[in-house]
Amino acid sequence: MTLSAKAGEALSSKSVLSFFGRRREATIVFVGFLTVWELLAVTIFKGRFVVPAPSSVLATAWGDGFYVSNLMRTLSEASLGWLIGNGVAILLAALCLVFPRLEAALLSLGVMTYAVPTVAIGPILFIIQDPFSAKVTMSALSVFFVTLIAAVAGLRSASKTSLELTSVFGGGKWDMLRRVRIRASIPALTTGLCISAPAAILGAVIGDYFGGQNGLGVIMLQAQEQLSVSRTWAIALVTTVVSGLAYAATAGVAKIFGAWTSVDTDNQSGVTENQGSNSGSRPLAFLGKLTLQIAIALGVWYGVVAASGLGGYFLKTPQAVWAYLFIGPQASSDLAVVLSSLGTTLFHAGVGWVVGSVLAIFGAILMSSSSTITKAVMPMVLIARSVPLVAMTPLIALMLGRGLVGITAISALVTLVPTLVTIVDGLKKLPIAALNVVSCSGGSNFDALIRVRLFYGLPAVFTAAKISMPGAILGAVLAEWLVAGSGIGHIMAYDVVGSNFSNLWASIVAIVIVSLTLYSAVSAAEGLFRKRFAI
Amino acid sequence: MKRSVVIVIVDKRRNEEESRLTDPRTESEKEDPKINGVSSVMNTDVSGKEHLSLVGREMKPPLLREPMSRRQLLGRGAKLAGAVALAGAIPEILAACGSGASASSSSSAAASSSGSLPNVNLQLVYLENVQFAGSFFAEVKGYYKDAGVNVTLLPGGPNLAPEPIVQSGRALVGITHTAEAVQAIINGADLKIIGAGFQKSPTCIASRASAPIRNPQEMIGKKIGVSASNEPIWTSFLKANNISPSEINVVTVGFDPTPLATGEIDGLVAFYTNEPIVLRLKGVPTYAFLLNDFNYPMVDDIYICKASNLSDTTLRKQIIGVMTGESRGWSDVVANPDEAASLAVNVFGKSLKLDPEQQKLDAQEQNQFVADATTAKHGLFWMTPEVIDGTIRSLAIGNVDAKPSMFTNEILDAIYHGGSKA
Repeated sequence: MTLSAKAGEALSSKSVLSFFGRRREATIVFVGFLTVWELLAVTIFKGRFVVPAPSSVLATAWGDGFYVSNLMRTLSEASLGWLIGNGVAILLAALCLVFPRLEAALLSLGVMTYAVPTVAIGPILFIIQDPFSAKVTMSALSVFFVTLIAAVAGLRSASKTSLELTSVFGGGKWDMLRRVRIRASIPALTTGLCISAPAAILGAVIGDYFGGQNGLGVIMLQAQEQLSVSRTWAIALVTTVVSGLAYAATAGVAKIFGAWTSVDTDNQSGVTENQGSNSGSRPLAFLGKLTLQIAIALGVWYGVVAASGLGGYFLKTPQAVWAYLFIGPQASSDLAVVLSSLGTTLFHAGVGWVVGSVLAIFGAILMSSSSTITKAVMPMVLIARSVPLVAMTPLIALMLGRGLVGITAISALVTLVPTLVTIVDGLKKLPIAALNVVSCSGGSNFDALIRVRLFYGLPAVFTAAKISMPGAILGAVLAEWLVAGSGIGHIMAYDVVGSNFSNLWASIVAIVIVSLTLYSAVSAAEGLFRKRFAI
Repeated sequence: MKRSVVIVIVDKRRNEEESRLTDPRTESEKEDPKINGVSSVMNTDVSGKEHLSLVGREMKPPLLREPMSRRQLLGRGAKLAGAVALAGAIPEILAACGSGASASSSSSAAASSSGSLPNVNLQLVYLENVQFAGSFFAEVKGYYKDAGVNVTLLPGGPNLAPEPIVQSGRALVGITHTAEAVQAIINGADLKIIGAGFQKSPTCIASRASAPIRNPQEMIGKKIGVSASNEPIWTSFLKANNISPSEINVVTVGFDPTPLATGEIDGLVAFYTNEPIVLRLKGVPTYAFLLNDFNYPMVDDIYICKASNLSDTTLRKQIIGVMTGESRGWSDVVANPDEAASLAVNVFGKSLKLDPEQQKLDAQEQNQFVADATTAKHGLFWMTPEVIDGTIRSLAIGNVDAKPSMFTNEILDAIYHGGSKA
């Protein structure tokens, strides 16, 4: 599974290092950004409770000392969630290596946890658990997939030579894991742990939307309720800064432990041991994989229903959902509602994904052609990755409205950042020889870009798509849930307030099916592509 | 989804006749006949209790600089309340809180007997603010404990539905909105509506005081702002008043009421205790009429519990205990909204930094929804057949099929009449 190797490597260490290393260009861009914001705030948006000037946001944040206790609460939930989610992910990733057959199963489990909107399972978590534990669980769920992918990629990235050496000296799979793979996994794993730090905070903040006495989400809701827009922005700002710091601190700790010192991996050449075994290249194998995924999904589903100990009122079994959609008295109209709202959501997500991906590709091309641009823009991109979406959603809705534009913008944002980072790294990872061939034959930088870089960048596009497609759907659902009046997210929000659990479960299932299908289809396409061009 | 409490801005009907109730002790005594069997504990030793807390504070110097947290206060309240009623001591504790000094010492003199009380949860429909001031009073003044239950308040949020929490047993009683509870019952939840915190819904049409819209007919030809979450209620309201949506220029808005202030829209579907107060604090006087007063009657902030629990002797007793505490707590809010606001700002919502002015106005305006002629006659939260019938008719317009059997006054009956009719 090369995808995981790429995904892990994609969000890699280099961009983080440049964040700390090259400050001048970044500072210019950042100051410019603030100036434009300030100017817009005091001109176009003046007199509206929508966009306050950055100066007034800062003043509010400075004057409002009370964020600290709320911040501590959120951080305690998030750090516990981070530990649990990452711990489970790493354990499972290691299990994957010892028992390779489990990998497909575990990764689809990961995709499922990623595809199920946290807002949708929140109501169930808050029934099973006390509020604090429920928020920890939401936080853990938010980090699980990212780290699972990164850890699998990292553990796989060990160089063949070292593994063979271990084998020659009589080492088994456990020895390979202990002596070689764990060491080799560190760079990719570190990236996963870094990315999951802001994600954990985001999970805890979403948890606050289910109530609480304390927490960043709680005070943000309260600020919105009282229409104190400066405070809403100030709290969003604090959340973003803290998320960014959590990212940087994780990276810093990893650096102290030498995480990015040279490790013997095969990543630079793009060759990993599992090359060619990607079963997605054969349609039959693809179908088999899909069947396996569905079987696992059903198994997990029954398991959750049984383990929770809750009755059929809250948790619907697969056959209950089937009956609701296909057999019951109003089945045809229920099915129609789910399908039509799903259609709306896919439209929102699709537009957002295309916009985000196109922007990301252009951005990546621009950045790969000029290191100054990279230096200037990359820190902003990294900051954008730390922005808690749930904090920004109401603000984006305020600025862009609650229609297609607002929702698309949110989906596009979710798509843009990971895609950009993935492709930029993908473009860097190309054989120098190929570039040399172009320049020796008298080709320009532009030729090199078209003939070599884009070609080698395509796998990165696939890798990014696998994560960003479910991500775009998730972004659309979240936006619909929080602000819009249409789509499956909106329907689910109504299901929750109206206790319509049948429809809520049917909607969750629909979203998971679509996300898993997209994920599998992109994997298959990637397999075909890699096979065809042998990269 | 998110609904909060409301306010009446221009309407100044609420008045001085309630100022006679400002002394909480006097008020609780007045209310006592309604809460027989429970209230007797409270009247026993008011002066002794005040003395107790004073002595306590002298004995141990306050922890300076460290304002008492809500938990500390509640922990102390729990200990105090077991042996003696707490009503007289509270204003002092609050005062200590407000001034930043701690009254933590008083616990040293208190007996603890709350350990034996059953622990139950009360699920609120939103974050802790003055909308739930009755519960705050009940907790700090020990009304729940007097009634034999140890209550923990669970704050809600925009994504949380109280119905499943009550249905699952995580909370014994929940405060929620009417249409949502009825829908949950239709969807199979085993719930009963056992009281109405608000006799009428605070949903209103707000307009600028300089260009007031006084009734539904005056909306015709005007620009009215409606948010996505208010659309169902808006559509039903128009139907109830025989107005065609095409006669009104509807604009979809967010939570920002600025368009009303700037004149982009002429009216706004709002909550009496929310947007109008926000605008008033920003210097824009508003006029507002309630949907409730124009063919759309609806109770709100209703209390729910599991229907099956009503026939379980132990749980029924606990439900009566929670509702007794609520009833006494809300009597205090009606009598003293300013203290209710300070309780919300300084104790329960302390970490949220609520706006004191807004909470005060909110608490004042909120009372007209809690207490009216019906509650004066039957007791707080009581749902008359007329009120239930009106609510069912309003819900039916929006195709929500409520039934009279979903509502019951049996708990309130047990509280106010000793359960003779239960």
